[in-house]
Amino acid sequence: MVVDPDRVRKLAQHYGYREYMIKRYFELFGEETEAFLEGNERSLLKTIRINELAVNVQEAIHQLSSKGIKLEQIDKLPYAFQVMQSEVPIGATSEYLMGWYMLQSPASMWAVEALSPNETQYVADLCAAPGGKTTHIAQLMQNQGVLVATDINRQRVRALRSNVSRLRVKNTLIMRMDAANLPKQGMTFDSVLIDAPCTGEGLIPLDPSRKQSRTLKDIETLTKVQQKLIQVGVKLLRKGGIMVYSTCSFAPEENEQIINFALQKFPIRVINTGLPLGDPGFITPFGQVVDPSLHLARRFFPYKHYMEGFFICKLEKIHS
Amino acid sequence: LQTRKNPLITYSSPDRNEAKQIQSKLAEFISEEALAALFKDQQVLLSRGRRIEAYLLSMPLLKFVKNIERTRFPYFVGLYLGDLEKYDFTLSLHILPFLIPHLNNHRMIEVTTKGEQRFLYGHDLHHVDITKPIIAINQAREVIVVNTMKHGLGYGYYQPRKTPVLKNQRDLGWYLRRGK
Repeated sequence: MVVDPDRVRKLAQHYGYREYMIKRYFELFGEETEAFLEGNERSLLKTIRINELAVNVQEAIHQLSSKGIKLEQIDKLPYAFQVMQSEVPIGATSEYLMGWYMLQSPASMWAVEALSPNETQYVADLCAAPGGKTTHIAQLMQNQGVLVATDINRQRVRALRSNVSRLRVKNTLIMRMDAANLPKQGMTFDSVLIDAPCTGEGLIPLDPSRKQSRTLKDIETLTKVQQKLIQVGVKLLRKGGIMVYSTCSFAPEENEQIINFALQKFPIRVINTGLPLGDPGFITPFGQVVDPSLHLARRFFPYKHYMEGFFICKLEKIHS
Repeated sequence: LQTRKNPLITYSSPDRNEAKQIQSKLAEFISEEALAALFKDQQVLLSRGRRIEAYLLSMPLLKFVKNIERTRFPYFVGLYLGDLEKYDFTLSLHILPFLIPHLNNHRMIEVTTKGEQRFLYGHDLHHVDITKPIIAINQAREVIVVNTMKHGLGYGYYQPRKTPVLKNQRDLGWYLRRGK
């Protein structure tokens, strides 16, 4: 799409973005770009996941509403609620400390829903800290099976440990290490979740500083990490195993193109996420054709889905 | 690399004395039957580094840990029971909610809503913060502190003839103060 440079400059100035970002958004969203930018200006409501390992949903709602916390259930996620109003800080109530709930974005809940782990499985969560998705996986596994959570960052692993403990998770093994070393341990898993480190453009509604703090160089650097992680993920899967790859970035280089790279190199295929919402993945981002099965991936946009920007792709390992 | 700050952590089963130390501490708070139920099909593993931490593992988790290379020990695994010290075993906050349903009444102190807030801020409590006990506790002892709905808030030292009457040992507020 040919875009008037003046229009790009004006929009970049008006919304506070770097110009290259606006250009890229025009190429991805065309005439919807302004709606997309406007969507990023809307603040998102806080959301919580009731931890059914600690309390049942009804009891939690009753108790929280008695403290002046008004909740509204998120469609199709019976344990997830938007915080419509709160007279107390939602991240510092007694119930929070008792592990009744976790502050977690709906997009990241959908990533775990796409993984749909069960209580008999061996599951790996790479890049697990601070533990929102890890504890969610444990909840869906009903605290059974085996869940291996890894993260490389010392500080973040502490937060992961704290959340695992607070949320009463007891089926988890936390390892502070580079996930790339996991395959050397001879482990194989039924499911692997990779919530890859990314530029995090999808978090702009929550952190507007990302409009200026990210560069193309960051995308380039991170794609190398993402390629490495997806390779590790494939190695860790048993035949027929399921992997969910997710990021909170809009950039196709960090999403569709990473999956496309993996499809060409490894014995995997894209399968339906089974999610009831989200837009299909891009199949010709920036004019580059990627595997058409990527339309099965799901993308969430603040302007359409009222949650942070997110990409979720579900993959199956075809053979060893 | 092994350093003074980061000693090499090894995992092993507790010896007889260590196992006794852990079990007798837990038995102060819950009945023998509850203890047996808690440990059913589970095994204790100790991580020995700067501290000795005790974990309770399900059999699948244990099998998994045993297969890991000796240089890649887990940072945390299963249910963290607490820290083993020379003469004592300090119960963790992780095990707290699992003890509550089986708690002996003479090891439980219920606090008022105001007392709950103060306790979760890390403060000691006074008589006014404590509701009437189910069983009068006349001797000083370690107790589990619960709110009016019997949800666990932490550990304290109850000393009925002293002020403050309940000394805060560890409370769930740690997750906000230190655990982030």
